Amino acid sequence: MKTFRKTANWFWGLVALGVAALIFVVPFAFIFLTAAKTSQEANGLKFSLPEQWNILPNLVSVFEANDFMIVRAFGNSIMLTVFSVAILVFLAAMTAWIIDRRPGKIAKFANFLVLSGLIIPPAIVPTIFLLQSLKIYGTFPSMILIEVAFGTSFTVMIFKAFISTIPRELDEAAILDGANSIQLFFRIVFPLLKSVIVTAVILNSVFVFNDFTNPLYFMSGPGSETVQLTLFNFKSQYLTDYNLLFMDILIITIPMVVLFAIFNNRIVAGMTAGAVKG
Amino acid sequence: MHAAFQKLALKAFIYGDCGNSANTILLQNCYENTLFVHFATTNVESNLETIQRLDGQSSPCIGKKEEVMRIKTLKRVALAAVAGASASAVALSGIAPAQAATTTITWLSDNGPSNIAIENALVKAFEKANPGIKVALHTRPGGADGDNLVKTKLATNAMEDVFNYNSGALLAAINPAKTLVDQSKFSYQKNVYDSFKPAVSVGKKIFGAPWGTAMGGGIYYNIPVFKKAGITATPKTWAELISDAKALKASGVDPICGTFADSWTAQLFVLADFYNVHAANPSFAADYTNNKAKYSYNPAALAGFQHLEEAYKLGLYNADATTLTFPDGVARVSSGKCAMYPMLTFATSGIPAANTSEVGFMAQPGSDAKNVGLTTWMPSGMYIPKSTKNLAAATKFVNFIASKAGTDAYVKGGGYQGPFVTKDQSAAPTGIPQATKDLSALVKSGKTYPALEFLSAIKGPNLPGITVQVATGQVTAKAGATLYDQDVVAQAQQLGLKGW
Amino acid sequence: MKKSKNNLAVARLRQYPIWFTLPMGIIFITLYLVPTITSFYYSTQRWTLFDSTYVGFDNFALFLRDPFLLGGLIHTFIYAFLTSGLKVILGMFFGVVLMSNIKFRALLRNLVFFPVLVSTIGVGITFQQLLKPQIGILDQALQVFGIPAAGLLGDVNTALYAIVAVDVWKGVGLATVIYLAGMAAIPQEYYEAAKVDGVNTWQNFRHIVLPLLRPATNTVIILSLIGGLRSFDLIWAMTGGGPGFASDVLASLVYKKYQAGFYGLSTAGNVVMFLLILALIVPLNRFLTKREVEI
Repeated sequence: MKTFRKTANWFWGLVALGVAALIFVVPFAFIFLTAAKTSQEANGLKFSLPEQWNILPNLVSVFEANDFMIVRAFGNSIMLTVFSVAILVFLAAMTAWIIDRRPGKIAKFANFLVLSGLIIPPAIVPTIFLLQSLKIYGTFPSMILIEVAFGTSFTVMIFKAFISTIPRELDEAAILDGANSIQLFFRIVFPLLKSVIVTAVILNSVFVFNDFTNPLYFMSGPGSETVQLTLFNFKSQYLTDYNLLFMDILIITIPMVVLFAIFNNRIVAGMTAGAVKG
Repeated sequence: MHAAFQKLALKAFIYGDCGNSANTILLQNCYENTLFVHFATTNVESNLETIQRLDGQSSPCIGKKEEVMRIKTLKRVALAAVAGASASAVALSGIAPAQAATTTITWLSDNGPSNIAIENALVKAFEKANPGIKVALHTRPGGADGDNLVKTKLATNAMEDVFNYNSGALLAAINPAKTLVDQSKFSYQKNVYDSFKPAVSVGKKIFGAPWGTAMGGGIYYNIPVFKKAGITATPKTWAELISDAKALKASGVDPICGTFADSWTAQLFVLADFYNVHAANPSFAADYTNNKAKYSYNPAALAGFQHLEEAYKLGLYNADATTLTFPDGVARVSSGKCAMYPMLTFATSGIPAANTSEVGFMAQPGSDAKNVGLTTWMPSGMYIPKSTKNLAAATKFVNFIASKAGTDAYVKGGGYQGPFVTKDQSAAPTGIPQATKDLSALVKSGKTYPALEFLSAIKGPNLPGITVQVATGQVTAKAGATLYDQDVVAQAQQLGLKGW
Repeated sequence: MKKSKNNLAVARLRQYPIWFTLPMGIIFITLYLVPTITSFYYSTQRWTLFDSTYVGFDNFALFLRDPFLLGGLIHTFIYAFLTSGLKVILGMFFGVVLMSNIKFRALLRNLVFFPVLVSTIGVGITFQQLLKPQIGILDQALQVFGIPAAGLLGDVNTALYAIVAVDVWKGVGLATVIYLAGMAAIPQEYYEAAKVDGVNTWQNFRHIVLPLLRPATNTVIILSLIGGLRSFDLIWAMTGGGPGFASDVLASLVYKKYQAGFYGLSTAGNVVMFLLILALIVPLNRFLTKREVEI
């Protein structure tokens, strides 16, 4: 029986791996192969091994493009992501906690606000006007605040969904033990939210790092480009350098992959920890 | 107080305003590239001593050396400064400027390697001729995203000092009277053909300088492929074109390139037909603007839509038309995979060097074999937003663009694709593509007329989508024309035009 | 009796102080709500960059009269419900598979989630090329099943569905992760108790896991539905709403108005979109949360 189980696991594992590879890996393989080709060959867009491996020259071209724009862009994007995600996740956890637990109408109203935040697309021009009147338009801190504001609804929503699964008896027990609100939240509840925090961090990092339109409108100008903008170095109205374009896509995807690789293990840890909670 | 001095000094330097106030003398130390400001009040002629370097530190040397001079020109000042300051140069050399005090203006322009080459050539030439001004080039994506960026920047006063953008009807959409500097009195105006000026004007004011060369809207065709199909001369009527297309199809190529993934390319049959529409209805442009003429029931105007429908019905487009993009179209007509490509002549720069002698350009034929003419597109405009803080430097730049030195630099950067709209313009370089030769011949023949969007502010935003619909058989020509007529009603109302 | 009840209520309120929400509240209200309300004001104006004239509800009338609006609405609904449904079903399926004991779990989890990490533009560009007729490999692979000559993206009837598929490809990893987190939150004791009671795997799933996954399911439904109704980036990157208007959705219609410089009109479109989505989501949300089970 046990060996049957084990073989079954192996079998289904392989099947799943095959299917997943086909569906999820093939497009990336295409990106990688095209990124390794010369410009001429790449424009043929075939799924073939490059006749001439051109990885290093392509890499150099992408980095040099537009005055080494990608280097600055990386710095900007990473800083923006780190700061906005840290602030966002921290504040959203607190906010979601209150929305879920606090009795009364205010919480319900806040809930509605959060929902509308998901639905209503942000109005670009009025926001710019507002930032200008506050005299912070175009500054890096204002961009951070913007990303926090735009990511609020989604993050609060995720947190709330999981805070609602934390039994209230826990609160009562803590109160009985004499904990005040801060201790209750930070010492007792916060550690339980690990898996959600990890999820929220990853998802928001991906969103902020891959955000194209918001930095374009709120923080444009040389020196403050973000990585998504570098794609347009290779895709103009009249010409597309597919090999460089895909190499750029590869390069700007790397930080997210690294981040995910790091946190991936923590997801596992978070899950097993959650599974044992009692 | 110090800041006020700085501002005044900068202003005076830029405007060359030293003849005005004898008490304000600007000395430019070319070697040190530092601007020194020398102020003296009228009362105290010998009191020169508020001399401050623009970076805020006072220079002990100059105060001793200088005297108030009644100076007439900046040149004399500079010369005197250099001469008189040579002694102080030694002393000054020990005082390193914190930063070079040149003016920098910003320029927002198109991205893309060929554009950037042209732009860099211009910046280089301009900076050489104007050592005190530097130009920082910012690029933006082309097409729709770039349009949006331009509009948003203008709306929020965040636009660069100069920028280029479409002329004609699209210019009206960015409300030039409110957002742009009036260039009517700029010195380049005498060098620009009058035919260009309406394209960049609203009311009586001119808002833009010509950027680039004039273009024609017509049809590129592959010469060897035509020969192979037995076609010896370009078609002079639309009927001839259709029979040619059938012959081409029989010889194994796609007669007409469709590149509908870039939906704007599908508009060409409609827009480039305007020479013929005008020939049949000389007052169409005015009537159209006054809501008296419509595409759907004016036969000559409807013809453009019908061309699309006919091409679809006869299967003249390539099978993958809906997924091809503009660069694909240029590549295919160059390689001969498709025989004809309706397009504007700025596409010529995309033709590979090996094929430039094989691709010709013809005007879009109408119904009259004796009256084949070219619909022309004006070049883009170079504009200055009202929000700029460097108006004088920006003005100099714009004047340069429209001068012979500017067009020379443009050609040097590889941008020659047809005649400029300036009178004193650069000669065509040697070895120009066949298509450009054809374009020049057409322009020389005098049988040209501007496209509708340069005569009327009305151009509906959904024309690209609608023409794709007609070209893919989703709607009939008449239905498409009707949809477009409805589309422009919304646009005219948004523009607040009377009579709509 | 009453006094102690009151005390308890007060104590409760003190445990969950409002000031916890203040920083986020300030940022959210200032940088999001205020501009949004301002833009509602602009929807009643004919707004051309600098001047605005009051036109009442003209903009709304104009938007609702748009000949392409009906098509856009239909496309939007198809797109939203298809992507949402597929993400819920596939996400749960993948989640269950990844929680089981098959081999290569960690690797599989990474593979499924990778597409989420790539930017939407990157995904759009990539699949646009993969689906190019005759030369794109996906197109060549799908030729076996007989697809139109113009390719999936180029054919008027299939363009929207091709984008749906890519959207699900990109987003299912997210749904899976949410489900995984949800499943991890189910305390082990529940499984063990069920085992003691002798339930088999399917009953286990249907009566224990599924109900306890409701918060996760609801989150995925709401998020993906709202995202689908508002979807813009991917569609725009892959087809620009075309061919013609065949894959136009509400968001791209509104965007085209913005592009054309009709700012008041596009804002009115945004308001219409907002009201429509609100009318759909609020009742749905209420319905779904009622069925949530508290542990």
